[in-house]
Amino acid sequence: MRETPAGPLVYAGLVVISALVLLPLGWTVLASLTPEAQIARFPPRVLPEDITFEHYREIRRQLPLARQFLNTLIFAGGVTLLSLLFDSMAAYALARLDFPGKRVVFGLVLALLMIPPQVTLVPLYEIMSGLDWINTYHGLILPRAASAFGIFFLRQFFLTIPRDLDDAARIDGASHLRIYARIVVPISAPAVLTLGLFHFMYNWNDLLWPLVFTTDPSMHTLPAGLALFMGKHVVQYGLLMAGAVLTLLPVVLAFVLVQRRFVEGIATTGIR
Amino acid sequence: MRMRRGTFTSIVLVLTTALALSGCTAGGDAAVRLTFWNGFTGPDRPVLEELVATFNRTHPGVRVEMNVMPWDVLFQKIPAAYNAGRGPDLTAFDTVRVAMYASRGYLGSVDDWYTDNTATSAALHRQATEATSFEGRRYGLPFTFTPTLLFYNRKLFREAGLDPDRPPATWPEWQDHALRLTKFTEGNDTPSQFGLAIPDHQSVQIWPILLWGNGGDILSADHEQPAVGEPAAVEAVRTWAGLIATRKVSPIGLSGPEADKLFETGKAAMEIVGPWMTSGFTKAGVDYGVAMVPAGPKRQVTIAAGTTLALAATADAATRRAAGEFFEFWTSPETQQRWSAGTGFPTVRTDVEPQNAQAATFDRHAEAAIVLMPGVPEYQKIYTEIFEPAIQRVEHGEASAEEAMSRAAEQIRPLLPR
Amino acid sequence: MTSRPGRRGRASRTLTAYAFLAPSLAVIGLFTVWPLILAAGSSVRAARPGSGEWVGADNYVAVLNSEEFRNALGNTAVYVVLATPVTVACALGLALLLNRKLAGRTFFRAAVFVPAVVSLGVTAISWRFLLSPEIGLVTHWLHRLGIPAGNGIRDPDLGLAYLAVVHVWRNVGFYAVMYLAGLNTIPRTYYESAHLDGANAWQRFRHITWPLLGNTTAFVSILAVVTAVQAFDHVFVMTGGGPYSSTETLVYLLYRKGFEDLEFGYAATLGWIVLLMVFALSLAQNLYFSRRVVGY
Repeated sequence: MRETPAGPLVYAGLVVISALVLLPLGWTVLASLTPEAQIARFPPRVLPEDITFEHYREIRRQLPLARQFLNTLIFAGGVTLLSLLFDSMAAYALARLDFPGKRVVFGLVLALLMIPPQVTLVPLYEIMSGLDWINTYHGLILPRAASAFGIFFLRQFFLTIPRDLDDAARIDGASHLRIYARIVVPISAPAVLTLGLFHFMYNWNDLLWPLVFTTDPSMHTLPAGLALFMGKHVVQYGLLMAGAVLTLLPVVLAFVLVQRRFVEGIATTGIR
Repeated sequence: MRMRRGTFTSIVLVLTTALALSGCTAGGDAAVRLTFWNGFTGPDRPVLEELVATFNRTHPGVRVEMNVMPWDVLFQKIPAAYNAGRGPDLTAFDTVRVAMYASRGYLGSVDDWYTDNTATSAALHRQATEATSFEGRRYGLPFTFTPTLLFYNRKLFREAGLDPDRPPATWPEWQDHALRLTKFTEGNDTPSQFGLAIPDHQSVQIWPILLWGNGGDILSADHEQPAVGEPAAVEAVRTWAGLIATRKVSPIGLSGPEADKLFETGKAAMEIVGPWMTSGFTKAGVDYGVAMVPAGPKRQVTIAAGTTLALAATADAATRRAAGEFFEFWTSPETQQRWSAGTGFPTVRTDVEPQNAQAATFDRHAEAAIVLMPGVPEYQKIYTEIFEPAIQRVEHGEASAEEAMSRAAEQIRPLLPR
Repeated sequence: MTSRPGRRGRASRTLTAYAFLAPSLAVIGLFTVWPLILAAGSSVRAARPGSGEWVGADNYVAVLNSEEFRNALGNTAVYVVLATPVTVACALGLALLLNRKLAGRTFFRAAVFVPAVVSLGVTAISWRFLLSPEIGLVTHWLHRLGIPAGNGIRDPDLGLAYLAVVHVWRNVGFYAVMYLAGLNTIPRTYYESAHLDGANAWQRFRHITWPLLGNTTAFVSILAVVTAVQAFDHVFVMTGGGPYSSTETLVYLLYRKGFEDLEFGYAATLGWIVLLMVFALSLAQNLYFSRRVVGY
């Protein structure tokens, strides 16, 4: 039964699974602390012989970390906030309102979910440079301010909220804006938070988008800066891995902080 | 979302401030601005940045604004930007791509710079400048140019009873050494040590060297016919792919960085690579020697690895003049010497002997270096998408050398001008 | 509902709905649909940009007939079939495990979820190292355990399978969280009464959990298929589509044509084909699930 306490077998299974899942990440962290010449060894070993912080020091020396951190925060944070607002509005309309064209709009959203970004890159660049939006924060943020995934995701959640709630509010004379802002979104807070986390992490980690739409190094985001250690012939694995850990830290931290609210939270509203 | 109002307001404030800041970039002076994109990431970047800073300091009329990014990003950005009419004034990229970009109309001819600077252009490596040509016009100048050479592990040579001061000089010696340096442990059919590391993708092109040594090639000399199906090419592929597949002298399917790692860890005893690896190998404590690629039955040559500095087709007169100043700066003996000292690359000039000892070794063999398929706009397809997969098929035993190479020849034929 | 809204009510509700949709539609329209239309434009023109000659459906015929397309289509199909069911099944299994009362539950939940939030482009580099046949830790261990690892990530027969493993690793935690959420919406009373009726664990899963998770499964499956079709980052880093195109997926082919060969016409055409295909696929999935899902 699902509430029976777990036996040792379950724990053993979970420990093995977690270890396997965390293996590549653990390797990344260890590689970031290993002298470059020891990262590749034969026979392969888990633990390095020497530990060094040289890669981290080198990154600090070579990159304007603070600036890139701020850029990433502005980009990922801006996209997240705007996109949560726009996605939730659109999802509200698709989940709670009946109107002509609803199926078409939803079909469009579903279709756009599937577009590989490579399809639109070249024409999009033309549009962006026509608008003179290359190298600007709004150029980085606005095209991502609505996401088909976000709309789809939130719509699924909004559908599960009992309609009686807004019907009651309607009878009390509440407008849709009010129902959206005061009932549907607050009830779905965990879902919104989850999506926020997702938008944030996706954009925080994204490499291609900020690199393609900025040409000015002072606009580079953290992953874009770190990519510079991946040379044509020489890959500086230690620096790259140290950079990966630095990029990861805030994300993992953010996740650990909201994790509780977020997993338990979805559980209480939840999609079915 | 239950975010506290205060938090929200402060985030919005930070964002709007940042947006406002982004609007006001530093006002420019009268200098001509040259945007310059390239992929000199990794350890080369600091050296290049320092040189560009020097140029900007010494040339008040011109300001080079450089944007370094990984090569794969650069190759995605170049078409997007030039198609939108917003390409950079200067770009540096693999010389094999010159013809492709020139044929798309992205690049402008720099023939006038060559005629205006006869002394400098005469001093540049001839193969390197010729490789920047497409349909009779030159579209850039050599930014870097180097032969690749045979690196061998002296310690592993000694262990195998080979003289570390006598690297293999001919194919029979090379093959014999490779076999003797390939070691198996009991009851294991995968070698514990490989004689060679020959990459077949994402690397400096090694297989053409093997074809050339046997008197073969991928294309005919005039680039009008495929030559890869000819007996000389097929025989070279059969010989080396056989050594790799059945005698296991090299792992199958290596990329360049993987081959480097194998050499670096002492798991492979020999590798053909460029000067960029020397500092990494030294740091890893590898006791290595560098020698010319052993002579094949027909020729002793190696492949040239190089990048080209190209000018945008849209450049106006002022930009062209400014670019000319940068060209002059870059090819000057002082800059070349500094670049060579910082990166281990030989210089692009024939009259400047690098002070860096490692670079000097490479410089000595520059004349024996051949540029792969200069001026062929369909290089990418011919080499990466037809030739390399054909080699991989032979290595994996999917096809015989004859089948794979004659099929490759048929696939290449329609891509060539007749 | 009893009162049927009048014409004016309907008009105002339509207006409200589109007002809610407007910001998203504007953003999506300008930055996704418009570039797509431009791409469609170049898919009916000659391959090289600038020449602009109208070729109609020629590009579509050429793409559909090309060997490269068929190879990539086959690889993508194999990849989706390998990756999707395993991802969804593992996610459900993990969710069932993690839904129990556990010491350290937060840790375990976080552990399986973390791969979904780290950059795949970077972790794929680590994976490539781990799966190297010569110096890789994972292949080394597999070898010790007597499990044939082939030529590691460079094996033409196993390449797609290794990529699928990384795909599962990357995505399973995210879907497990979706399932966890779904599990928590099932009223406990259902299980209690089933228990009283003497149903065993399998029967309870079969007759309560599985049917009531129908919506979650639908949602997760659609997303999982879409994610698998779009797989790119780790393919790019780990195999580059090789050896000899044995791991080249449709999206990778698209990238190669557009940015390596500069054949935008081909790339745009392929983009549209992929788009239509996946759209049809998820419509079919949607239909299938909406017919199956039990109302409750």
